[in-house]
Amino acid sequence: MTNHWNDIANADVVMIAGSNPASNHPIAFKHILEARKRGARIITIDPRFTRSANRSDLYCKLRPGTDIAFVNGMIRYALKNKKYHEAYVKWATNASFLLSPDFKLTDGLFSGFDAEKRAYDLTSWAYQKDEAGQIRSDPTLQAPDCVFQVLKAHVARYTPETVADVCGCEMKDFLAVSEAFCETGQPGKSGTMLYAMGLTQHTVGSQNVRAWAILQTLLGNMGIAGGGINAMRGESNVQGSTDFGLLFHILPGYLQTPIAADQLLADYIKRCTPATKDPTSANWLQNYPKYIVSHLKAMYGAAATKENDFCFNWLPKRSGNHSHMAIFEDMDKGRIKGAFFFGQNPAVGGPDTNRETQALANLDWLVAVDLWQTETANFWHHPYGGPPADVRTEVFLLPASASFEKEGSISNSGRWAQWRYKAVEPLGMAESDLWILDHLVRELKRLYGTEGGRFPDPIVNLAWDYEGGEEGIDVHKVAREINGYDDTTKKQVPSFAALKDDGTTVCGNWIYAGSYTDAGNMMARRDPTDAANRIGLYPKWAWCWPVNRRIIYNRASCDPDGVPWNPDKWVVKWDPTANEGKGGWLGDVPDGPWPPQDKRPFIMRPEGVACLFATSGMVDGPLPEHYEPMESVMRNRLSSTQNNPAAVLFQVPTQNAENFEEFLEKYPIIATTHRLSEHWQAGQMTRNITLLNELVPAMFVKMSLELAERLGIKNGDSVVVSSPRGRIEARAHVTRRIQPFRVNDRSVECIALPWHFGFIGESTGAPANRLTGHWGDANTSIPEYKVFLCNVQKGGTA
Amino acid sequence: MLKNPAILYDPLLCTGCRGCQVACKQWNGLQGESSGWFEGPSYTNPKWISANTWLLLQMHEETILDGKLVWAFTQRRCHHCTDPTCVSLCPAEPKAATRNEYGVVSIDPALCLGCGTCVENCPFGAPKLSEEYAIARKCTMCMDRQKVGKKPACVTTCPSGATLFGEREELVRIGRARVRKHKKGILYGLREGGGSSVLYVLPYGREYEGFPENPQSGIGVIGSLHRETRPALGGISGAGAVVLGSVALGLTKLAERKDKIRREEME
Ligand code: SF4
Ligand code: SF4
Repeated sequence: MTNHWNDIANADVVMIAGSNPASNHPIAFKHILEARKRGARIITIDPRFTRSANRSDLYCKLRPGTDIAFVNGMIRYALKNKKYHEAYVKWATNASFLLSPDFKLTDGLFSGFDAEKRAYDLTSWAYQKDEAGQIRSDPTLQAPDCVFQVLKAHVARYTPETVADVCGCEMKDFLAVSEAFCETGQPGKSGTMLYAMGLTQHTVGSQNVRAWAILQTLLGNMGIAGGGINAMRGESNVQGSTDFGLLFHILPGYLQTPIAADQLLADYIKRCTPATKDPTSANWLQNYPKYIVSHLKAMYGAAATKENDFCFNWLPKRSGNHSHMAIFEDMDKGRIKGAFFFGQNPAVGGPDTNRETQALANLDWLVAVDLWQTETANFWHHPYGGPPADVRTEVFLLPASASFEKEGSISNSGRWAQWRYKAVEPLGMAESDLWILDHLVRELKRLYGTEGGRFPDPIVNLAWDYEGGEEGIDVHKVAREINGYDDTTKKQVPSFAALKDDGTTVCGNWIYAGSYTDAGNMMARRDPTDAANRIGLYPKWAWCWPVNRRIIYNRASCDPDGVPWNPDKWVVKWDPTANEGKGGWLGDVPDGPWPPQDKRPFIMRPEGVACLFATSGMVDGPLPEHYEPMESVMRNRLSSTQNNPAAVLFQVPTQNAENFEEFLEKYPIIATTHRLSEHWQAGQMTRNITLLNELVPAMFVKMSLELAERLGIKNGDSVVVSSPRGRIEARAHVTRRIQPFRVNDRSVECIALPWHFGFIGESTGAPANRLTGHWGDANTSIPEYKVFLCNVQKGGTA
Repeated sequence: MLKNPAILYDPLLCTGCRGCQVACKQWNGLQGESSGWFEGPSYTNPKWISANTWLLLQMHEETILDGKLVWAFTQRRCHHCTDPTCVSLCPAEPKAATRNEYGVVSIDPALCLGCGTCVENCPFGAPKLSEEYAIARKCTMCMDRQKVGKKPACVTTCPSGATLFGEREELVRIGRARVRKHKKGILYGLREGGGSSVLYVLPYGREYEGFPENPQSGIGVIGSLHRETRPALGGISGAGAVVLGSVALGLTKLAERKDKIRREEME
């Protein structure tokens, strides 16, 4: 989240799209209800009439996978009806920047596309620069090649008629949503955008979010109270896990993983450190070298010296894609011999679980670390995995402790790291993840130390000085290292501003610098006093990255003179009399100390401004363009480029231009997957609880009254759902909460499947993911769980 | 303890998370019911209040007001009536069903005969005979929690503020302000049954929830809770006369059974 949970209450309009907080974030939904109590309007856009839709003032349905068409339509509406915040757009965005004449969009393809590589060369998505290397601009926004005009032309095709056709919604509903939300473009008004996996789990997932980010920026909703682009995380600490480099392409603090071309630390730093010639751009990431060097010092301690490049070459170098699906493809090909699954259950949660389960059988060993027996730990008697006797994989299940049985921090969606304590001892032999890792690392170090092996240095020399505490490993020592310290004085650093690139500072994760200082554990703070601006920042409650800044890009909440756009709900403001007349910011921790005029507000971009047009950062287009999902009921209305041309494909797409209609005949129904309040993720923590199984006792398929009638299905009947990947049996939940869509003047049905079920636990059912495909988003490789085609028939024994 | 503790339920704030149903069971040690499927309309499960389900969050889909789809939620539970039929008709000596000085109605398990009179006569179908214990059981408004200064479990868990707890007077004030915004809105429990300790904001009127107009008349009104979307009450049937007949019969049968259990326990 750019903002945070409590801040939602400040919004004038709450937009819920690609998410269902009433179901999936039921506690947090109270912030939305609080906003409503204060007069906000709530809008939900979703293929299903969700619990959130039920509590909304406006609801508009949309066909799964058509968010970009909808949002581009809203952008068009905002531009055409002058609903955008003009002064904000001119000051804080790249609207006025001139683009290279080489940039174009031709029939759904941006310039620079290489069909063979399914990838873009980004050279033509560039700004025009003058001789001094400064970006050319037209402050009047009139030049035809300025970002503003290019964006306007780009979205011109997304008329309300086209939106209604593509999204299968009513034009009047689309217009009502556009009008209500774009009202927040007025200075002093705010709209928050709340999304989750409904936006991201698509082959265009990142561009879905981009589209909303563009709209939010045009409306001046970034950096302000009650605004922002807010990803509601699906697990209590998923924010923390990405902050700490869970994903294959990042190290802790979103530093990039090295690649083979980075022969020396200097090569890596050159590749990763952005540069600018614009004096009004703070370009914060120019500090990149300090963060990576301090991180290397945390990794390898005394072994990391200036002379040996701080052991940079001990970091693994990434070759290609090693995202979730890629790992399973590698397993399938026998390239991966062993795997750890920490609180992960791909035999239920992975896309195309039949395929992924079969891949597990190629492992020599598998370790599942979990609170319960999981389908993954029991994959070998998976009914689709072949005869159990043929499976040679040795499986270990390590019992882990639950959240109340261990101490540590968790980081919520709003980037607040909150410390929590052990309330009870773990059951039986269960141990915390930290204990398990500690034992694992120490044993590995011992074995590599005594027996050697291939490339033992990074393991033998790994700094691992956390001894202490009851468990043998002291979680506070870990947290202190994450914060970082001065290696000479051994004093904790107060913030990342104190980090250096000469090897004299140690810091595990630069964005967490400030979380555990010499003043104590900031994450453990529980002072509920609000700040002077009284907008619910609660700056002394827990700690928030970066530098306890509760709303990021907050300098954009002010005009170029540092005067808040909304004086009633100001986030920061410039006080020229502060600091003995030198001036200073009041309110939230600002995005840098500079006077407002000196630096532009978006300090993490080398341009210093928010990018309506992305010259870098996105691999599949500088602007969001509508493409159909990999399996679709409709040929792309906007161009002849059917799918995202850069989508990551691990399977040959099942539907193509030639078999399009034939495929559709076989699989005529749209399917989408979702979560419920009553169950959670792959189900281990809920399907073993009788009281929750009472609420949702069985796997079901949500279908419309019309579809049920046509197929002669009654509520509760067993049905078979099939896709090219597999088939499942489940019971029909016939409901008005899902409705067919109008597509090409005919009615197309859509079913919805909860994905919580599996074959282990007190309540069991077929995993919906037996039906989903092995393809995903061009930027993140997230699988396209949210839309595929299927067929539904009466039958089976569910 | 509050002077006159009350609960206010507002379906327009309820998100249907069903935390209340689970929290009630968890606190009161009630078993989960494993039916294998949604027995009631929409996600409703089990079908109706039972000896193990003192609070049921009922869900049904309605097209009301200008044809707009509404996923309607309501709590089914004991209303803690001011003039409760369960108390007036309880044949035990002394009465097992009583209304205490705070306005909370409870059934004393030590005194209950398990005769089923309250079960058959409650206008809201709240008390249910427990096969296990052979007594009538129902919502206690968590008197055990209240006595130590805690709110009822359903209220504590409710994330949306749909279920509020407080002095009845205060909740009446809040409830009145809320229903005023709706043309057909009423605050149910304000006067019905002499006024109950559980109050409902009914934005679309009384009929919409199927609540009886005059709950203290007791017998036979349960039928009016039925609606086409609500097979939920299937278990409770029979009009007044039949009910009365069966009460007498049930009384002897259950008293006998209970005696038997007591005897067995003592042996
Ligand atoms: S609702 Fe039924 S059980 Fe509860 S007090 Fe009224 S009559 Fe008695
Ligand atoms: S806990 Fe509250 S919000 Fe959830 S179902 Fe019960 S009354 Fe509704």
